[in-house]
Amino acid sequence: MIKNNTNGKQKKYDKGFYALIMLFPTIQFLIFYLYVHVDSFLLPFQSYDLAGGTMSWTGSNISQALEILFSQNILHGFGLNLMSYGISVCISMPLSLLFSFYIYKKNFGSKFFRIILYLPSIISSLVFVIIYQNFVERALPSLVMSITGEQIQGLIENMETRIPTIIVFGIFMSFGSNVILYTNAMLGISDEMVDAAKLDGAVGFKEFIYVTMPTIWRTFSVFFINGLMMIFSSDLNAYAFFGQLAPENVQTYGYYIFVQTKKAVNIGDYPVLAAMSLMISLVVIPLVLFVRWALKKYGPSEE
Amino acid sequence: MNKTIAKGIKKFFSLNSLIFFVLILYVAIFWVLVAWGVLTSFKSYEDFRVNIFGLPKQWMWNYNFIFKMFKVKVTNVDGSMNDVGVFTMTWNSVLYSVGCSLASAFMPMLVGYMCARYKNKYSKITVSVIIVVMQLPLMSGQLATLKLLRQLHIYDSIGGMILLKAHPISFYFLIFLAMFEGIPKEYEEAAKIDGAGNWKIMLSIIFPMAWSTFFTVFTLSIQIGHRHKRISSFPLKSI
Amino acid sequence: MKKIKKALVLMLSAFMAFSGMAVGCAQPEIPNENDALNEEIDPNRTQIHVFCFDGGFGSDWLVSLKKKFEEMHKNDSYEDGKTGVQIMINPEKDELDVDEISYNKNELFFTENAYYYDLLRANALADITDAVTGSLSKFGDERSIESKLTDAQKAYYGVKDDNEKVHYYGIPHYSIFMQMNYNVDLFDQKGYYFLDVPTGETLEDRFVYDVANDKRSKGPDGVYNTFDDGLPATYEEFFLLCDYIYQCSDIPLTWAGKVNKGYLSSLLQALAVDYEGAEQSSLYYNMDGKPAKNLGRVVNGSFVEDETDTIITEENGYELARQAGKYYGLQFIEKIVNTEKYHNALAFNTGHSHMDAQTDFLNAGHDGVTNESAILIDGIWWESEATATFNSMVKSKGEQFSKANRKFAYLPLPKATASKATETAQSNTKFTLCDYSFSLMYMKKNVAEWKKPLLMEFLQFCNTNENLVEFTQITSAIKSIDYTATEDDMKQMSHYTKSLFNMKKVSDIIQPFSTTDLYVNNQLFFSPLESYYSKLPSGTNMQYPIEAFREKNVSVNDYFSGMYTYFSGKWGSLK
Repeated sequence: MIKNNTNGKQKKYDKGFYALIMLFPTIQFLIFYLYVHVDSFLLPFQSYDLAGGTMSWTGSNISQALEILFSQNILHGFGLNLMSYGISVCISMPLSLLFSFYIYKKNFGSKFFRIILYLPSIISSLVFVIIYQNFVERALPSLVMSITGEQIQGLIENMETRIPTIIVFGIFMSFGSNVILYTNAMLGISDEMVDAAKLDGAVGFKEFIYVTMPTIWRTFSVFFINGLMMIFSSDLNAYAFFGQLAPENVQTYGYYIFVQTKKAVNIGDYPVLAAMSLMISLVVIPLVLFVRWALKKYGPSEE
Repeated sequence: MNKTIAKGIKKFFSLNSLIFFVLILYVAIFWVLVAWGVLTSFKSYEDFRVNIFGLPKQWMWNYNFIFKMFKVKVTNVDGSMNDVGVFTMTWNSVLYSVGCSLASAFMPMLVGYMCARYKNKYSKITVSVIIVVMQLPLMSGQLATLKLLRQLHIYDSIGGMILLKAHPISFYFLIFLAMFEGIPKEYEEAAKIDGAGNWKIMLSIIFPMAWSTFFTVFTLSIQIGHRHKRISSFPLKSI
Repeated sequence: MKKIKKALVLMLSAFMAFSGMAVGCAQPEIPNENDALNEEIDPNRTQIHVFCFDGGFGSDWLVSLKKKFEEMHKNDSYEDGKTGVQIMINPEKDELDVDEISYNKNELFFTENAYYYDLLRANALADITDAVTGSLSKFGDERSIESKLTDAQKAYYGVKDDNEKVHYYGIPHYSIFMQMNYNVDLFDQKGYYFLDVPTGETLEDRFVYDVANDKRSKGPDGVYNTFDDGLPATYEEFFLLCDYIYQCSDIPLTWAGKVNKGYLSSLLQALAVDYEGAEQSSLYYNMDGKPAKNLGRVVNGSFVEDETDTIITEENGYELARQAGKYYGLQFIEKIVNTEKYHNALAFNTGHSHMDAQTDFLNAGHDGVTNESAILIDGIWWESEATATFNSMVKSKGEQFSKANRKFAYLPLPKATASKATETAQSNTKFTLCDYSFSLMYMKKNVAEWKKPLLMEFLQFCNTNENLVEFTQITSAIKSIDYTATEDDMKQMSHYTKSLFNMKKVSDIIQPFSTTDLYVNNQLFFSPLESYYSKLPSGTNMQYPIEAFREKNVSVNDYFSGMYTYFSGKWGSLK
């Protein structure tokens, strides 16, 4: 890293270079983000009297938001968000890593699997939802009927199989970009390190744990943190499946806020929703920063 | 013989074999869904109603219908209407995807490089701001953005959209940041000894190392842009 | 090089296979496109740009108006060097944001889900008072548009200035209702009509045997020899009808599984509004100190009406959650949802769309696989939306399956109780409908001054009696304002459209909006689909009663009581 430089002229030159490069992104951020979204930051504290055409400042949106966030049905959504993240950490992430490891080791069919794993990301998600939804709702019951003569409900129609069916879809669609990026990171592992590890008896699963994972730890951390950032904004694909009519037992925080925003008739409906999002952000932001620090400090390193 | 069987069993239950079987299951499910979807695309609706799982009773070429109906009416500047069909949409999609994806991939890479390689207060603030901002709720930004684009006279233009996307506030910034932080400082020191300036170090030494990641991010950005149900249609009303 | 060759061979093979299939397969019917929607700008004529919300009703009606208006003005000059008028129609399925209107190229707008007072506040609407109050005699219509508005519409759309003069900035376009629609052919064939006097004790003895000659019951309007004779007059009769239909191996009710909650909630609203009547239903939006007559509570498992009326103001509007119409409506919905034999198998299947339901309803009994379906729960737009299905059936099965030859009709809602049916028989207004389209016709504010008279003339032209009737003939939809149709006009309407027209004549129509500050500041809260929230005994807030009945086994009594708990709790937080 370019930090200490005894040459004063070089330092000046470095500063100038830094300022020049960072000028455009800074201006872009100030204009297209900060200026445009100033309202969004202030919205939780505003109240609109549309009839009178006035706006006033208030803290009541925050208390309303907290009341909604802790109400019985939305709290269920909180649990669903946590469960979804847990499944992502315990199933999707490990599977993505293992699939990437398989492809990185150029095992049998690795090229074929690489393409297949990426295909769901290329095909429009809407198309895939339609195919999947019609398959589990119409085709499967029809198949069961023709084989056994028994009429069963669709897997999403049936309350007991609804959540697992939607979660399976989420897992199914999660591999594409993850596998590509993990495989890329794994390809950066030097062959000498792998050979040396082999000599020490680290093959197969041991190689994965002691060589591969530490080397790609940075990339893994990014995905882990990204998942954490999205923890409460995820909707479990409920909107894709149900539109605005998702059953209560699949509604997450993210879905609830998204649908209420879509239903909003005018700006007067936004402040409470903005306050809800702000409350969630106040929890997630320090959590993300802490986890990022912890992963950096205590995670394995290449050394 | 027993040794061979034991070896075989060990190989069967080895990590690679287990992953292979899981992948085969994934592929099987994927192909059943896709195959059923493709088969259904050759049925008429009346056929689909009563014959959901079987082969089509009469094979229908619905793709002709799709291509003919796949168009939108667009109001031109002079107020006349014209149909924008598949080919124009494809071309616009390419322009939009490639242009915006380049911007979406390059800007995080550039800012990620600067924050990773130039460790100063401003870089630390930038990283924190990006992480915080990625989390913040945005409720009413769309209308304000529309207003701004009109004021800058870049509304309803691909260039305007690309400018809008040229920001580092994305998950890819963190990927590039992690990547650049992992590159040893010896590369720069050696280059400086050889007389290379900051531009040369950035463009000829460090960025080429990030080429595969950049390409991956670029591809992912295209894929995400292509999959969006509504690709931020409001600033591209007639395109 | 080898890889490229391999890829090329694969691509070529795939292309040839695809082409082979394209040639070998049958071709679906591609609807003819209306050339009028693709016209080039004619520099020799003055253009009028018109936005048309292209939902279930399409834009063919506007094309017809365009041709007539252009013909009428082909020799008139509005700009130097130009003669004649050219109407450029912009059909779009997306609704407009309020802020987009002033920038939009279009000058006139025919749209849906437009909140009039939001548009007014955004200063987006032009004053069209002259068009609304002016005479239409130049078009052969003796009335003005204003005279065709109801008092409630005049109160809502008319805005008073400081001098108490009324100004209009928009007028209603069309109406949409969620209703039950029955298969008249099936009813006639199987005799699904109630006898005036049952011939015995069994279920069959209550229904006609000789459809042409047996005397039918009065029906929901309580009057003999009207369009609804023999149809179920009460909820009890309705369920008897469903039992009979099921016994005859037909499907009583069909609705779309994917949108079951939305559609059935809208039907619930329709039932509640019909029970309460226009004045009582409008209380929820006006809250102007009038008494609510039918409020009650659940006591010992039954609904007990209050002994005295409750005056409704903005402070206690939540009391309207206790309306009897809502209670009985919930009972109706709970019964059809939880009685499996009353509805189609896919009634809750998320893969079953509204188009699927329409197709199932039309094809039922004619596809060699399914039994006939008696009643479809859908909006009144369903027949227009199912045009492709009608055409497809004509192509495969013959002309007798065309829209013109098949008979469907709007099923008048039965009354909750026998006493309510008696009350209806004595009243002039037989039914009350809830129009929740929020559809609007308006001119945007920033049009050129010289063009305003021409645009207003076109607005007037669209609202002559002749053109209002033509709209209904083409779209099978009902306009929100008053108009009349002759017998000859009715001959050009489908059986279903005629039934809608007849319903409108004997109904009050309420629109779920008002000008009160409370309503304007909380429009989402007062929208029909948000009006049936309930706090369940478990503490959960439930928006859709259908979900509560079906998935949480909540009783009607608990749900109804929970509605009062929810609204009384939320009322204090309204702006």
